[in-house]
Amino acid sequence: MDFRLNQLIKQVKKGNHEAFGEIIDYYQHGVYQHCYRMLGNHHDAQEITQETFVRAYTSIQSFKHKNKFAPWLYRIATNLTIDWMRKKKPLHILDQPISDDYSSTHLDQINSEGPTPEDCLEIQELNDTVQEALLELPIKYRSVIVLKYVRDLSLQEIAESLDLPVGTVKTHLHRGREALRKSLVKTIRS
Amino acid sequence: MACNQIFEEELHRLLNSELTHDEENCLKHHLMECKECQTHYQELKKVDHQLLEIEDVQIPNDLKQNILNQLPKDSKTKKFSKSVKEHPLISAAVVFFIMLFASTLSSFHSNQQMSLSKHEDVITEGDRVIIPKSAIIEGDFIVRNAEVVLEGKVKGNLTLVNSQIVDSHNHHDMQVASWSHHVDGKVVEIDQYFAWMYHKVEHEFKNFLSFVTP
Ligand SMILES: [Zn+2]
Repeated sequence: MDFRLNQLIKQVKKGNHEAFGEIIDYYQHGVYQHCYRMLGNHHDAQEITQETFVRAYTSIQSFKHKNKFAPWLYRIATNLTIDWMRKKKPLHILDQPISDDYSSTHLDQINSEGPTPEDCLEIQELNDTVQEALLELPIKYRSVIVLKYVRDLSLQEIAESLDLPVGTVKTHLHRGREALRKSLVKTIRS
Repeated sequence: MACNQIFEEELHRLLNSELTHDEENCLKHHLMECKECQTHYQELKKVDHQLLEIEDVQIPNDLKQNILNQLPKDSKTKKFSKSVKEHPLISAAVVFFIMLFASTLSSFHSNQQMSLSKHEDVITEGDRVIIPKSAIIEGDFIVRNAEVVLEGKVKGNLTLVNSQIVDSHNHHDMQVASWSHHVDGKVVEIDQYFAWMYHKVEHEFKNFLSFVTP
């Protein structure tokens, strides 16, 4: 893929839509999974995935060939999801650490509009306990966990995607996993 | 402090397979004796497992099309060297005309100097050509062997021979999409001798046509 990818990126830099279509084919599934697990619903995931690719296209000149493409793309996606969540809710709510009295209220706040039939389908999928626990994680832990487990990126690639040192990525991974352990154990017992 | 809190970091590193052989042996010995740490580790493994089990969701069918619809329009730029490759007939014609216009070859090679169409508002600085905001060029404009800062307007076609459009601020290649605001006609980039020939031939051929068809 690397050779082909380089060829495609060169074409995209010249404004070639067809070449960009091939890049979409290759990465849309992964970027969508990432956005869906970060945001927890299809509507927002689609919105942000689309915006990620449009942003990638318009800023392709800033992509340097010595870098890896996937972390560059996931960086755009992660920044957009964070902006999106900030717009929806003030940051202090989203970055709050998990405490005992912190159950599903946070989720309820995010989906504060009344449920539509479409939402009901989404809620059904949200019932997945792991996803719920993920959405309760502070963003910085959630993005590391999702990139590692859902996208299967290496720690190095995650560090590039989030613009963090590898050591910090490891710490976030541990803290995130620890928080999930606490919340999932609670659900199993209750 | 609870025992499993002291060992927490190491338990995660065990899960990541990051411990050295000795560290691992040491921790495993402890796990055999300590119920607390054992439970903690089992729970972490369960979380790890559940995260790995997360299934991919289906992506919407219209995702790709929506993205393509939102992209800025394809630029007017067309690489002539590409169209020569794609159309054999043109290639044949070019080969034929090479005989006729062999002189352009020498003119191409002998002329590595910067040159451009004459226009009073255009400024030259070293190997840069600046078309300032105030400038409006009514007809076609040709630039050779230069960097072009395009802030004004070209009403005809802009032909770049061994030249490129740069941003006035950071000197990088300007994004293709933003050229079109400045050029009403086509932007033609010529960076190879062969394409240059083709361009010359096309030009001469048009002259020829206008000569025979009054
Ligand atoms: Zn212990």
